[in-house]
Parts: sequence; structure tokens; C-alpha cells
Amino acid sequence: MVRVLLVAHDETVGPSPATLGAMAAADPQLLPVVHLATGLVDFARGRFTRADGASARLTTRELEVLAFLVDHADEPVSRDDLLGAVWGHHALSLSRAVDTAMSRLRKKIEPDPTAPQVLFTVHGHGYRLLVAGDPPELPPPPSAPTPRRLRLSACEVDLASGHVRGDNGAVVLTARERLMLEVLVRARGQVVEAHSLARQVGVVGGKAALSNAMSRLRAKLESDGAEPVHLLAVRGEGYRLDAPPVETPPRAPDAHDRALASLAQHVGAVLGAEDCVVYRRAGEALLQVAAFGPKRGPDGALVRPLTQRLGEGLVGAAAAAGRPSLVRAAREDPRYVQDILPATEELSVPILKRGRVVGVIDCESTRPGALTHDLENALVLLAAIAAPAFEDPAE
Amino acid sequence: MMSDEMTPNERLGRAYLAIFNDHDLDACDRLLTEDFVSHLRVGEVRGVEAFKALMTGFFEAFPDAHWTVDEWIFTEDRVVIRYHWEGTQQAAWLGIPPTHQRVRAEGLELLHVRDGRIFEVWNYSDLMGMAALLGAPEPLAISG
Repeated sequence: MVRVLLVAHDETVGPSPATLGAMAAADPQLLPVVHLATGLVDFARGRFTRADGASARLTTRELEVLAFLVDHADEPVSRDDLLGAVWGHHALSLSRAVDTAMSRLRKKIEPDPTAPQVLFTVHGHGYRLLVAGDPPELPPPPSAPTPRRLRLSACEVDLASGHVRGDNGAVVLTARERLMLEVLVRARGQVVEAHSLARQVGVVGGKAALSNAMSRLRAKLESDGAEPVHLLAVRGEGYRLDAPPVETPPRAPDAHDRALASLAQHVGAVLGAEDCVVYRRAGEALLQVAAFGPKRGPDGALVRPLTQRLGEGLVGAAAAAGRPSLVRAAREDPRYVQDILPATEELSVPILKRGRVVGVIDCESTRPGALTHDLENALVLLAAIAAPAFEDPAE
Repeated sequence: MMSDEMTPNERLGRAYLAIFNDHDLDACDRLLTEDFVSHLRVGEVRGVEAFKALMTGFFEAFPDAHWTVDEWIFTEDRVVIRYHWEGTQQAAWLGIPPTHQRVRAEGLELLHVRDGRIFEVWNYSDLMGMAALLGAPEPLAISG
């Protein structure tokens, strides 16, 4: 079994160390997620998450080293090749840079750096990264329902309506501000990387634009926008929300979540789809709520739940149009947004309730031709059957 | 009790029905071919294990499901079963949360037989009628 879920061997976008930085700057979603025996390397977020849940930030250099080793998975790689590819040094250099970097890297990706499990020394030559075997058991994300209200020091926020009541009187969040807050709430105190946050809420214009958007949100939620105590910037990483959640789910989410899990299970285990994700609409956002395949964690909870906006991405486009969409060359489509698998094809079927889109059933495949029109017809019927289980955002 | 006068396909058809009424999925291994395929309104199920997964989910959702045959037709290489079934939805099914409602639906299945086993089923269960009883369906989204 190959352990690399998403080794970047895409013929068109596969990263090499030389292009990694440029790709990251262009679109962090193009970078892969790679499973090692000891944890998960997330190139887009620059993080390594160990099997025990501990997470470490990887430097650009460390990411470049890992990308080169992943490109040469299970093969001995010489120090000189690494020096040339990552540092740009000439061969036969006497630099100790490689060994020093490997030592640092081991402290992050090996539970015991003195007894490596994945990053081995090849004596007299260089190094070898092991990327074959069973994927590690990663800790599941929290499965508790996302809180719908927030009580902050200066105000109380109703996430469903976007109404804010507090010291500054009553104000209403814009759709984007509400979505930004929703993404941070769903991260449950964890840092949301700036690129990821910008993409999920549709902010273009880089970190400055995101910072401005965050300032406007702070002005509505914080006592002093210049000295925020809830919406916190984490230098060099992104943003996180520090707030005690008020758990007031509007309905019985467990029953609905289980119901939608049965839908994803049918599409995957019965109909043979490689991957299925069910989205629920919340305002202008589409939230992942159930999955089959790589998005489904060991206890049924979603792995890295993603938020998309109506009209954006292939999922958002199908939802905005209210019609199914089957895209054969998904990655060549400018609307394509990569989740944890780099899909070859993507089939998105909106779920309509009384004529309004309330969710989406989305299947991705890495095998050309695997998503058929028969499957599309089946998903259309399943969408009609499952629709009453969805909350109508207009109600 | 199966009569000795039954044809092989009659025995096979009745054994197939027993899978559902006895909730005996192990019987699939001897009654269905490895390349078994079932054409349902909600998708094509390929392989014995996928069929077991389908029925496992169905039995969890409708633990008291029972099928009654209204009409049989047996030929040399086919079996046709017109039936109705009843059951109470106790768990989630195809995205519908448990309603604890009893439903009744009619259906027809055409079984294709090869070497004493079923290799293909065309299933015309009134799934949409049944879903309507459980509160679904909504109008369909048509591809554009």
C-alpha cells in the first residue's frame, strides 16, 4: 500500500523544490498533503501533525527538503543532490547545512529523533524518506456541533443572522464578515492560516486586504479594535478566535449529521464512489457536514472540514446554478478548489428544497471516467430524497 | 418448505427472497455471482460486498422489514418477482433522519441467472413513493 495520499506527481503542477515557493505564493491549494508513518505533512499550511495530535510549524527550507525527499520517496538521496536542489550549492560542497537541517527536521517529524521511523540516514551517502505503508491514525477533529452564538466581552453575536448586540449598540455583520467569523469559530481556537482564511471567505488582494477585512470585523466585535482580545493575529501564521462559545445548536444536529453520513456512506460504500462529501448551506457559505472516503476520520468526523462560498469553486458554482455539474478535467478548470485529494474529476449535485439550494452532494475521483452520468442520475434522486433533512436558509 | 418439484430457478428465487426476510446476508455468497450487479433507481451496485453494504444499511434503517410476494414468474434464465414490503424506519437512511414511521412500498425485480446463481438484478422498487411517505422527495435538479 502506498502511504502517500497526495504525492505531488501531477504532470502539470507537480512541485519540485525549485517551484515550491513559487507555487505556494501562487496558490497554496496546489500543494499536497503527504502521510508519513509518524504523521501528516501539510504543505499548504506548512505544518506537520503527529499521530499524537502535536503540531509543529515547518520552515520554508524544511518544506523544500521534504518536497524533494517526497519526490524521491523511498530512494536514497545524496547530500550533494539535496544541497544543489534546495540550497543551490554546487556538488561536492563541504557544507554541513544538510545534516543540520535534517537534525532539526527529525525533531519535528520523528517521535524519537535518535531512532528514526521515516527519515533515515544512508551512511556515506545521504538520506531516505520512507513513505510506504499504512496511513497513521490522526486525531479526529472535534465532532461537537458548531456553536451558533458567541458571547464576547463587548457583545453577543448570533452567527445565524449576523446580528451583534452589545456596548456599541446593535450592528449587523456583512455576509463576508459572518463567513469569516464562521470559519474561525469552526477552527475552535486553532490558528486558521491566512491564505486559507482569505480563500475560504473570498478575500483577494493578499494579506493586506485580509488584515483590513479583519480590522473592520474587530471594529464591530471588539471593545477596542486596536487592542483585540478575541480576534487575534498570530504573527507569520494567520488568525484565531479566542472566545468562550455558547453552545446553542438550533436543532438536533446529531440526528441530521447521522442522516447525512448515511447518504455519504451509500454513495461511497454502495455505489463505489471514491470520495463523497455532503455540504450544508449556511447563508452564502457551503459547509462540509458528512463524508465518505479520505475526508472521513476514524470516528466518522470530518477531516479538516472546509467551507466554500456560493458561486466559488466547482461546488459553489453548481450550488449557485442549482444544476448538477460533472467536470472531467477538474484541475484544469479555473474554478477548481483542491480539498485533501487532487481530483481528476468532480461531480457536484445541488440539493434543492422548495426550489432553493440547501446543500450539495459532491464526488471527486482520481480515476478518469469513474464519475458517470448514471452516478449523476443516482445523486439527483438521492438529493431529492435527502432534501427534507436540510434546513432551508431562507426560513 | 421447498418442494422437490420446484425448478432450480424457483428454488433460487425463493432463496433470494429469504435473504431479505431472514436478513441473512451470508447467503449472498452462494446465491450471487462475484460479478453481480444490481441496477437500482438510486445507483448501480456492483459486487457482492457492495450489495451487502446496501442491505446492511437498509436493515439497520428498517429492522422489521418484511417482503411479501404478490406474483412470481420463472423462466430458464430469469426470475421475476412482484412484491410489496413493509417496515418501520428506525435509523437514518439515504439522508433521511429516523422517522419511526411504518411504510409500505411495492416493487418488481427481474433476476438474471447464470449457472445457478444470480448475476444481474433490475430493481424497480417504488423508492420515490416510499421516500414520499417519509417526507421526501423534493423536485429533482436537472443537469444543464
